[in-house]
Amino acid sequence: MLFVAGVVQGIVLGIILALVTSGMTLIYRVTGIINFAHGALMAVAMYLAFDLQRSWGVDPLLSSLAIGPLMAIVGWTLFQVLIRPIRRRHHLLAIQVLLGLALVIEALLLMRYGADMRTAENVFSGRFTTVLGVGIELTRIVAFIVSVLGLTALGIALRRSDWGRRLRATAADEMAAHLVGISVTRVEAWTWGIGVAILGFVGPVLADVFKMTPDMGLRYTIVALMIVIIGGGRTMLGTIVGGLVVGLSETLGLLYLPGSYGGLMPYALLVLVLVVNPRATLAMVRGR
Amino acid sequence: MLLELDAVSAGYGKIVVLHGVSLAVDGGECVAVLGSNNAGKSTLLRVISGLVAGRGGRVSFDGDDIGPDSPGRRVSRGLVQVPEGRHVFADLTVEENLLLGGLRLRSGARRRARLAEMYDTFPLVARLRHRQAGTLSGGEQQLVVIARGLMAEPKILMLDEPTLGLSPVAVDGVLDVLLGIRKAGTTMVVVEQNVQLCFDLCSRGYVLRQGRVVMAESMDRLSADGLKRAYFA
Repeated sequence: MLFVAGVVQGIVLGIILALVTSGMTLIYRVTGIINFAHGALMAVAMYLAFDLQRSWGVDPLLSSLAIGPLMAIVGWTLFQVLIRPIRRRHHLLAIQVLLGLALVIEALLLMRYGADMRTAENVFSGRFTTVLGVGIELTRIVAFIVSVLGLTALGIALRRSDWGRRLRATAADEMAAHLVGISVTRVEAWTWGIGVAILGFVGPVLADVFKMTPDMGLRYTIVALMIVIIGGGRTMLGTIVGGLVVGLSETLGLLYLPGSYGGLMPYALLVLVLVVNPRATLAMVRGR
Repeated sequence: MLLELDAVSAGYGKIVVLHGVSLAVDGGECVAVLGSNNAGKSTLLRVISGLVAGRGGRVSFDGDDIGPDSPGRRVSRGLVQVPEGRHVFADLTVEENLLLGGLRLRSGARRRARLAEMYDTFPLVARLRHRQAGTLSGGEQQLVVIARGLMAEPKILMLDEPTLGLSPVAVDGVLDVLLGIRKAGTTMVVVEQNVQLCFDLCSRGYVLRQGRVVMAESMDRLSADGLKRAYFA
């Protein structure tokens, strides 16, 4: 029974993390840049939902519909202002800029909200339900359903729409993309917009699942980066597999290993992946 | 003239590759660009398609100066290049590759109709439509990129080394396809090492050497002797 509980919790967590990571995968695949401000931007979306609830009592599930588009603009602007001027330079430059941005965001959040742990409760908060006999918070199930829908929509859009084909074509061969008439810069800007918009939609939903602290950003950036690496950084399916591996190893690790050693499980798995398949990471360092 | 280059120079970094190249292509013509390795043939096509910025001179298409246009804008004008080394979108299916080639045709219905035409013209490509393009053989990939270029209903189709690295059988297949395109009246510019193919296909030729045009003649006057002098002198 304990095992079933671990598996259910792990799958739920894994799929949520997969959606959180999908934006990082998209941006990496198309522009070859790892967004080290990914987690910090999710923190921004969550704190925005917290603010809207505290000031006007707007439910985070509702405010996510506004924060999503807002974060799309944030992502698009980030690309135009910070990334576009340096994207053909050494890739470490982009990492430095984004890490710097993450630290600035963290400091601003700390100034405005203090270091206390926060949550923004939604209409389902505080209630429990049972899945396969396992008790689980309803907000987690809601976040899980949102994640399944989000990943499905993203997968269909990538497969079936012109937008998705343009994006995959640019990721596959930039020169050929130019030659069929794709505006590569526009695709890159869109990808940043959508990659960050996903955080705007999912962040508020998670504002009662993950606890908010100003320094949460870097932690979730690392988690997402692990998922990208484990999943190979190329496909949505890989991202889902990576999310499940991290989610399951964390929950099962916490259940079966003494103390909080279980929390180290995903990191141990990451090391294992790097040892067993170093080529995957090598390909990532070289870009695309 | 449909396409006209007037004293165009271009290069990469400090290296100048093209020194004042002038060239003209009339509607319905097939023009060959010949020359040894490093003569600047591929750079010439890249300047025309906008991948490399010109550093002087003027490129005009259909009477307009297209110097400031992005590669995408040039494609929407109908200036389409099929790149060297095939460059299929490897992770995408053959059909997706073709659909992307037709982005210039705004309406979905027109694109579908063009796709059906391409499948009629290229039965082999039609059979491979659901395969991942990266898994095809070199000859098959070359047909896919040619069909992808044609999807845009180009006013000029520019081909960079369409037979490079292909087996003799595949070369024959590509030549047949190109002859068909020529017969249909599409204007073409062909950069090719395979001189025989240029003789079979084109009416006029330019010979480049070290970034300069050294000969510009009709193909029947570009004798083997003249070519030898141009390549080795």
